[in-house]
Amino acid sequence: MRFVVPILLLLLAVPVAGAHPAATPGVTPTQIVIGGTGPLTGDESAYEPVLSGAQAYFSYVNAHGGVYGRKIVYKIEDDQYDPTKTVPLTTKLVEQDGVFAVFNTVGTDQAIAIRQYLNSKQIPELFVGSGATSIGSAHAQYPWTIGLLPSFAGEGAVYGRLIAASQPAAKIAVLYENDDYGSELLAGLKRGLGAHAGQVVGTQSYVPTDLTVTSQVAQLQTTGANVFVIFALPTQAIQAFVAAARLGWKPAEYVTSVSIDPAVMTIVHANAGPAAGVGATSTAFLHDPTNPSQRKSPGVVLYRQIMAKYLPHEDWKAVAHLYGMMAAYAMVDSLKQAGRNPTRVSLLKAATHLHEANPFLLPGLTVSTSPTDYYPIGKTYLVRYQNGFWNVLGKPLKTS
Amino acid sequence: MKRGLTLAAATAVALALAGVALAANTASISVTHTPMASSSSQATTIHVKIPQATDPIARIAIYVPNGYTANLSAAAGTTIGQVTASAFAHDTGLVLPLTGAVAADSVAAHASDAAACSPGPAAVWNLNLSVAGQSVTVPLYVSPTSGAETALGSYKLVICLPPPDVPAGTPGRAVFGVQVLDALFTVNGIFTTPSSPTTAGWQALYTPYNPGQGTVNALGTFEAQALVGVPATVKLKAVGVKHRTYKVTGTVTEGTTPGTGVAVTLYRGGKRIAGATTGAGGTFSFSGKLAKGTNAFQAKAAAPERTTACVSPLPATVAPAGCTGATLSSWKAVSATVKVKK
Repeated sequence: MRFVVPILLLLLAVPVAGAHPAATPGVTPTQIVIGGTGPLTGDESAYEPVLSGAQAYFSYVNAHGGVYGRKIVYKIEDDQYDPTKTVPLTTKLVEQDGVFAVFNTVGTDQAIAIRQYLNSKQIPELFVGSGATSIGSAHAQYPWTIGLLPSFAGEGAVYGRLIAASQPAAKIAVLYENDDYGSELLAGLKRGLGAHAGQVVGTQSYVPTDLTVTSQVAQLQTTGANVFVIFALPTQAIQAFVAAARLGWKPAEYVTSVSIDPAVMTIVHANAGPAAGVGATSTAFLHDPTNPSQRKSPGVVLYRQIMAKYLPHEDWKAVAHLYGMMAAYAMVDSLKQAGRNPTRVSLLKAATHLHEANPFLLPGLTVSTSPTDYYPIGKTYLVRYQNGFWNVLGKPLKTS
Repeated sequence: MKRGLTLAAATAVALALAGVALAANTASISVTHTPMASSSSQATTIHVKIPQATDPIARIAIYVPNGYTANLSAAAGTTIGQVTASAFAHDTGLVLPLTGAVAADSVAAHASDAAACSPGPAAVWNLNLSVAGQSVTVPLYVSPTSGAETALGSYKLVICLPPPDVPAGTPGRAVFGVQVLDALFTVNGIFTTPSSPTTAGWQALYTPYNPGQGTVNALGTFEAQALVGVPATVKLKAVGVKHRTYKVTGTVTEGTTPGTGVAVTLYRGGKRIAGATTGAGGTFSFSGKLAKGTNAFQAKAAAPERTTACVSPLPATVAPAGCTGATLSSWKAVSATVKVKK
């Protein structure tokens, strides 16, 4: 009898030590293997820091004990921002590498391309780099897919409400990307404008393969608009600011939050002089590590430490690194909340019950989710470009 | 009729020549040391400027004048300086400002790329340029000269650049079609200036591409020069001091040459009291009323970067497209303090 108890304990201990080696792909006693895709090379490789920043944060976590003793292994595949490449690379991550979850997919179209596959296999697709309605509002159909960015439509509405309140007689011109991203921002803008939506006097779209948006900006100038809203990715946003300045057009400018990396205005000024873009309005949810007013924030201090140790040769001023760390922080939080013996079900449950004070976000913002709220970042700040930086204005505003 | 034909022919030739002149490639190089002193090895700044209208450059070889020495022993990974640059991206039509560190790298790691640019370097420095999180590493190969090249200098620094203006998708094309317009890099503790006063001539050889073709135009190789006067000094002495007034004079020299047209500022007790420009012999003078007590005078001289004609241009066998110009270094110098009592 005295041997029964130790034998029972031994039998009970086996599954704990084994930690679901067969039942939970990607989880071993020493590792949690996750994976993701993004543009490491190619025309959109400006987003590469989103991946390397996340990788650096996981390295930092691993150096501090990992998640319940397990090291996070983050396998990144280069899809060159091409959804047709995202699919086979994700399939490889799942079926050859056996990842526990897919994390930090860059791009709305890319995330949608793999969504059906991952949901059918009940594999968490966490913290997609998108704020599209097609991601954030589709949780009933695709419960395993969660975005991260604030709602694009909600961001557009923030600008609409601001313009309606501050410039009620504005004549508004909009440059937008001809896809879900740009269209949702534009729809949100009109929703926010409410009764003033008819004051949108001109819209012009572009596709990312356009070499320049100069002709679109010139067309918008002819509308006589005194407000210019730029719903464009960084390269096209820079071209838009530069084109407006070179045309001598001086409207009040608004630009989407994905295009406020400090380098954007540096390049604008190199091409169109130091006055270009000054006074522009945007929204921000992340710290800006270059802004002196935020330099002592614990999140910025931690960011600089991690950059110095794990990415010493990369550009710490690129906010995309900080975005990647913010996403990785949410992932680590989810993995911890998923328990000592995580399963894909427990991970999804954790990821849909988050309420974290993520240090890389601006003060007062949280990463919060629920089974019916798949927009983890539901608030943002207005920011204005003055004195060389995007400076925070007022209190957080709801985007979802 | 014949006169008309002659005129037409002359006009055609003139137009053709004008076309050649308009298409002429230019670039410049300037070099400064901090301080601009003899036997100094603190910091050397090399500034290369290439107008956008110049054909894209395939290779730049910079010769460090004889009389300099170089410490090429920095271990791989060591940051030895900083670099800033600007480049025109053909893909976006934008000028990109780039910044980053200059870091020593392993020579062995560059065996293959060096072979295609400057075989057998003694050191490789990576110019790690980045903008908005995107990085481009440009290796710079450093070698002591040998054979006939010793006439050009003691060391050569060589960079090779990919063609930016060939169609997108062409193998070997520059990322984003980037065409370098400007590069300024500073290395610390590497070069030691000559021990004797001299005007050292740094020579840069620029080899362009044939526009739009991605092939090297070796016959288009041209020269630019940086003329560096070391040491750059300002000397001050008191003359004609009387009971209530002073007169101080001085000289400015750049290497072995009088520093003419150089701005000199006179300070007393750390406060600026007068300014002048040096004359033909590099001389200047100030006079005025003495202050009570001890008057501590000091002169500060500052010369901007200046353009001038090439000195002893290289032969056509080395620079077939000639020498496009020379740049005299900018510098600043401070005199010793001269004390005068009232």
